[in-house]
Amino acid sequence: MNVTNILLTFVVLILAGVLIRYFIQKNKNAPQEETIDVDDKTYTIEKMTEFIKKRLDEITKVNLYDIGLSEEELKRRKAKKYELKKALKGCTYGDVNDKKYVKELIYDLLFKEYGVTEVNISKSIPFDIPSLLTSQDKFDILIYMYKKDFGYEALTQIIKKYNLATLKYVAGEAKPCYVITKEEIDEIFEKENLTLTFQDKLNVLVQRIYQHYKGYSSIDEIRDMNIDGVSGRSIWTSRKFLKSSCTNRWRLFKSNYRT
Amino acid sequence: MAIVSFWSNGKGETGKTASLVAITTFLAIQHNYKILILDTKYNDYSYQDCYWQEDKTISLIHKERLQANVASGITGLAKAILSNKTSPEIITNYTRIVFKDRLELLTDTDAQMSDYEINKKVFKDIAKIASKYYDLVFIDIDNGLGENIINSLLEISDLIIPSLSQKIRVLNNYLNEKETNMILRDKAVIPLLGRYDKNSKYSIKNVSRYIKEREKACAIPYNTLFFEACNEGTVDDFFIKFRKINPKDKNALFIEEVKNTAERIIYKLQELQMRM
Repeated sequence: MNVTNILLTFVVLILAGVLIRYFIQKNKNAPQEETIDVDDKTYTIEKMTEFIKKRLDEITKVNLYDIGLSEEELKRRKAKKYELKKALKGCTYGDVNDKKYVKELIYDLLFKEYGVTEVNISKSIPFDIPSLLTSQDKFDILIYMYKKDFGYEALTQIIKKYNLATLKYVAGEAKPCYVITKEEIDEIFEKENLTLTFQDKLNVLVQRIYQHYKGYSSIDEIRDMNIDGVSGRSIWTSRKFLKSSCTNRWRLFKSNYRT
Repeated sequence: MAIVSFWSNGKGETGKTASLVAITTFLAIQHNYKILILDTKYNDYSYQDCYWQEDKTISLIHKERLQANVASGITGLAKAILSNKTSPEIITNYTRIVFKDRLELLTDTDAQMSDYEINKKVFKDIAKIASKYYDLVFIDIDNGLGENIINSLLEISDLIIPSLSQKIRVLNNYLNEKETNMILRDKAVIPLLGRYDKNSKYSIKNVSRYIKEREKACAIPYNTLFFEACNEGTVDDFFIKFRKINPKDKNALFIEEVKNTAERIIYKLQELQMRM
């Protein structure tokens, strides 16, 4: 081996050393955690739904082989991932247990990762200012609070307690019909004068996010109740004088009651 | 198959967790049992300190990715059980392994208080489901769980190990509890003296007589090396190292007593099984 070869070996070794040091330094300086940028829209339902979709996608698609887990830990992680995938699939078919499981996960993600607190939760649903709550917000709160006490009998209890299963005349209708109006929901909400804890508020928010993401939209909670059924149809088919886009939802209560 | 509860009455350092760790580790090494330890304390690091040293490398490099997961430990399992996912095999997905297929630990170190309140209600279900999958389920019952939950856990136990110390107050408290608590009278019980000092006048024989036990109580003596191992995460190495011990060794008494206690537990459980 001549002098040139020795020199070249040294040059190669030094270069390799510099490169390794550069990469180590680069990795050290890389941001450790991805922080959530907070602005006015951060705590809106849309943004949170987007976050949940992204996170659930990450959890179910993460390549566990990349993390460098032990064989046993990998087995467990795979089993849990499979369980979650199954639940995400099952909840779209209306499985209440899968729904509960997915909702628990959404709750954790919002609380532990997204940083939803007592203060910022009101930016999504204005719990502290009842006048700003929509009828759907009020109904969601009512059904959640009743569900805590009565389980799947919640809707039946509300209907019974406020005698809502009666024939009513509604503006624009010639014949009386069974209906729960916006005004009735507002009135019940006012009468109930509910006090919600942070957990309650977060659970209502979780349900709202869930029902738009994986559930059955506004009828998601109603269809789980102990009622005879829920049916929906386009009014266009039966009453052509109404707008074609209008969809009517029927809640079958005690076989003959429809709202 | 069987549920064994370690319980202590009131406050006082009885060495309950250390005794449980010693017995379960010994059983896992010496016998071919599938064992689960269910820790009911809130964010408790004692078991973690006994078996593992904190792995800083993993926590720095993979922290972000490891987070991409559903809740683990008791909190995760409680959520699965409350969602009606109750197959016995599911429990193993939430445990930490001490010895593969031998000894597993179900605990929580980063649970929120609200989660813990929910967990409290499912400890009983977890133990019941786990007993279908594991040969032995050891429950470390926390005193702060509340009377109802403690009693419900004692009720489902096949064997209760009241953890006592050589303090007269602790012994008196146990005597009172024995007279008032029906569960302690009905269930199979083996009193255990933790952090035992053989030179004290409260010897195994005297204590057994004092607490009106027909059979002699068991004892786990204080051992410096073992308690150091409990702090350094090397309990498993400790028992492997002293698997075969010279009877003249100063640690021989500790190993001997752990062996006696473990064998008493197994014998008692076999006896109960025979009766059924």
